[in-house]
Amino acid sequence: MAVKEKQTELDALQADFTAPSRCRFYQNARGFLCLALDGEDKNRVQLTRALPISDPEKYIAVTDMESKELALLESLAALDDAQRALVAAELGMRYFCPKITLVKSLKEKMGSYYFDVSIDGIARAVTVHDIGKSMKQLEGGRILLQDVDGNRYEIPDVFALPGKTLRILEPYLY
Amino acid sequence: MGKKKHNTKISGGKSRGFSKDVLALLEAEGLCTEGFLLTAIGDMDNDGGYCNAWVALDEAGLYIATGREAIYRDKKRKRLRAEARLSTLEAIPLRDMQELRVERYATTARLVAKRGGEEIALLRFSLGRAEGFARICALHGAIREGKEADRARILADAEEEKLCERCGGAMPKTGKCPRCSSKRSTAVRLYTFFGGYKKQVALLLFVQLILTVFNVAMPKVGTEMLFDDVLGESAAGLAEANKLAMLGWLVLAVLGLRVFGLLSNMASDYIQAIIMPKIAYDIKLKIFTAMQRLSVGFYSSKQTGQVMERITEDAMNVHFFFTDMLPFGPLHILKLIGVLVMMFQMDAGLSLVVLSILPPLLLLLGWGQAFFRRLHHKTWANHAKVTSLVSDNINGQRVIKVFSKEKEEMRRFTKLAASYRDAQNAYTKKETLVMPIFTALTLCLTAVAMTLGASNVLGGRMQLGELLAFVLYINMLAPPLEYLSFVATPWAKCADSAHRIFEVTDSEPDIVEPEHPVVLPDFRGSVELLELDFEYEPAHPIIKKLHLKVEAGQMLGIVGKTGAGKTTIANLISRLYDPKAGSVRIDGVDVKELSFAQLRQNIGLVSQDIYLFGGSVLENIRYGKPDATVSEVIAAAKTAAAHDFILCLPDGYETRVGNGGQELSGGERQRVSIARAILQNPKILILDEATAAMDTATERSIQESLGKLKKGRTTIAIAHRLSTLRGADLLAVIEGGELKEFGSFETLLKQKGEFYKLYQTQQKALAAVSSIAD
Repeated sequence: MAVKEKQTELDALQADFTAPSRCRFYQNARGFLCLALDGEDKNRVQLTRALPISDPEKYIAVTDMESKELALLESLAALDDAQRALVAAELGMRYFCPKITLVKSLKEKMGSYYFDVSIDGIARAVTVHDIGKSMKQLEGGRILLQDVDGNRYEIPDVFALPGKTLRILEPYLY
Repeated sequence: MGKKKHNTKISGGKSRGFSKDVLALLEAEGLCTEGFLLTAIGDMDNDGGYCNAWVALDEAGLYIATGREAIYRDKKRKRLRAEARLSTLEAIPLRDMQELRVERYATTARLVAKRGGEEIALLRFSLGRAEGFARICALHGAIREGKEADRARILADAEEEKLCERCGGAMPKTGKCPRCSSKRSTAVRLYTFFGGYKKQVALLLFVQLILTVFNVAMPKVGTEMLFDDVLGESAAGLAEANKLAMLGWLVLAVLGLRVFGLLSNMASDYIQAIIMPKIAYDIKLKIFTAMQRLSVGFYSSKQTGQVMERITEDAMNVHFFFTDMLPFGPLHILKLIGVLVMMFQMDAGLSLVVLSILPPLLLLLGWGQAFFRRLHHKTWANHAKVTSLVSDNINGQRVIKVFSKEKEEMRRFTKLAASYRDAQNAYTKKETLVMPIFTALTLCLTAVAMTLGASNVLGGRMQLGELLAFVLYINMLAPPLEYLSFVATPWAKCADSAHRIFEVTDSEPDIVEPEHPVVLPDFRGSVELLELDFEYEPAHPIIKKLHLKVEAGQMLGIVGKTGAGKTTIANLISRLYDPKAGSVRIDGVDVKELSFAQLRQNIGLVSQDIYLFGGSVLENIRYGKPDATVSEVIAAAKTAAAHDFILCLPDGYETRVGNGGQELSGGERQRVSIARAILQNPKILILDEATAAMDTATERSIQESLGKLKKGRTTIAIAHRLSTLRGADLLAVIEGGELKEFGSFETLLKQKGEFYKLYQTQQKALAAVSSIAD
């Protein structure tokens, strides 16, 4: 009896994930992502990552347009290929984060930092205000950068990029 | 409407908004660009690829063109030129769109229109462009609904957005374009700190020049002249008495040189002792002044350790360089020049051999400076992390103890401290490796010079005294060279620290006082929030289109769930932050126009985060009004129901509180904080959950006292407990940053909306408690 009670207490502390079989994502005629939950059409939905940095493929909240949670997916891996592709495309759009392949230069003027970077060969200028806050170094040389407008960029592994990038960024890392 | 494919090419100059090329292309497509009311430029296609999109709104419709625009250098005309290509052009009649809005996501945004009851995604763009598109949406709404005043305001706001005349980029409200401001090197900027001490610096350089002359003359007089002119062959023909007389003169000359050298040295040290600490003090003062000038946002975005490091360690590094390194710089450089002059004058060939060391030395110095600067930054960053952890641990000791996390915290500390140790070790190891290289270079040089010089003496091309003096000069080269080799590391430290110091002193505060502020002759205290929008992080709106008004002397209660944006409203009224759009008006004047002094003097804020400074209770209550009498302080403390507990403290009003002082409970701290605000006697009093940590009886007592003080004062109270707000003239219910309900207590209850639900929930909870008690 006591063991059973203990088990019930532990269950109460587990997140209530939605079984993937209950969800059917689809795109409406205008290309917006919609959801049918248990066969009931919920129309347009929004997707939010609970761990956007460390585990972007897991713990995805599905909310209606008023931000009311409709479902909580434990992992995208549990969805079938077609459903996963739909969800991944929507997440990719909401969490658009191009990968920087080279930092060509970094200039500081009056407390603002001007990055001249390359994203898959395309030159891009990125302006950052508070570099200590806007550039985060994570484990394994991963760097996240957020510019003054809220756009985000990622360097998956700064040590794997040409040495120039590391030399330029090193004074602002750690 | 229809989508057309284009592939036109044109080149031309650039003007504000769309480039002339793009305007020409659009005109070629039959659009009247002069009729454009507002424009915005997008930067993405719907697949997330980068491209250009030009969006314009006029009286008839919305136009969306996509394509590419590139800037290139025209080699013939030697100037920049723009080249644009249009791919698609879409025109949507205004009457067809019921709604036009911007949907903001985590990092991107999308322009969405509602047509025939159906939503259509029009264009995707990066978040940074969202504001321009949001303005187009607002204008579309104003045109559709025929709101002429809104339309005029939106267009006026768009006009007001200033661009830098030089680079065309957006101009910050400070009026200084960061891209076009001159950037001087760290060294030159540090040099400016000497600006106020020009005379002393000139005197110091003069004294050091004299000192160098004495030092450099010493081997010539004391060695070369003694060995060659008195003891050498050239003196062989002189009488003994003459030789002794010459020796006497030489001894006197050496003594004179030594004494004057010593006096010059003393004078040099004295001048340095006067000016260097002053300069170090100036630097610290400049950092602290800049930090006071900066807005709240600067501090909330930084770790405590980082801020502390800037005031303490960074200023210390610059101070060390200024006091222990820099003063010897001119001396060593002058000595180096003087010694080289003497050596060339003695033997140019041998001197050239000595000089051959300088190019590799200079190369080594340049490399060493950059290398040590990087190493120092790593050490600094690790030290800042350790300081932050220690600060966190001190502040969070109770939580650590309650959760029994001492060992875990110890592990975290050990890990960070080890990183700091490793970084410091790496720095020291490299430093110890570099130093012997310079010593070895000097030794090699002496050996070479001795060998070549001895062969010159044997060949009769040089005298013995001359060689000995030459060797002494080589030895005299060692300190300046060692200094130059050693100075690279402290300079690297200093430059790295100075860089961070300038980052603080250069930062422009977000909240700026206008050049000619408005000073209200009669500050009454009416507060009006006009279409207020605010966000701490881009694209995460906290306050949305908030619109309400409180007349002077009224009490406004703000209720809402946690995270609804209530405290943000208090921060915006106090102008700790500026709204993203809309305005806060006091007595009809935008707070951005008011003088800081008048604003701070007339707005009292008792916030949830109570901070008591290290000092007595008396000093803490007097913080806003240092000249308040004890009688006034006691009256304020009584009103805040703080008087009784203060008297129970060991030293009454003189009990030390705050950092390292007497421990006060949450409720006691709140009461001291309320007393502080009451003493300031502001026209607008903001109480942000000011009585949340108090028992009901104390809260009621404070409310009664505050009720007496309400006359002629606007009170804005934020509270969870609705009983706290019973005396409010008006209540605002905030949900998700929006105003849901607004009116008197009774009106809102009658409306049976959100406020009614909240009231019912709290009443039921109270009833449940009563029934248990019964």
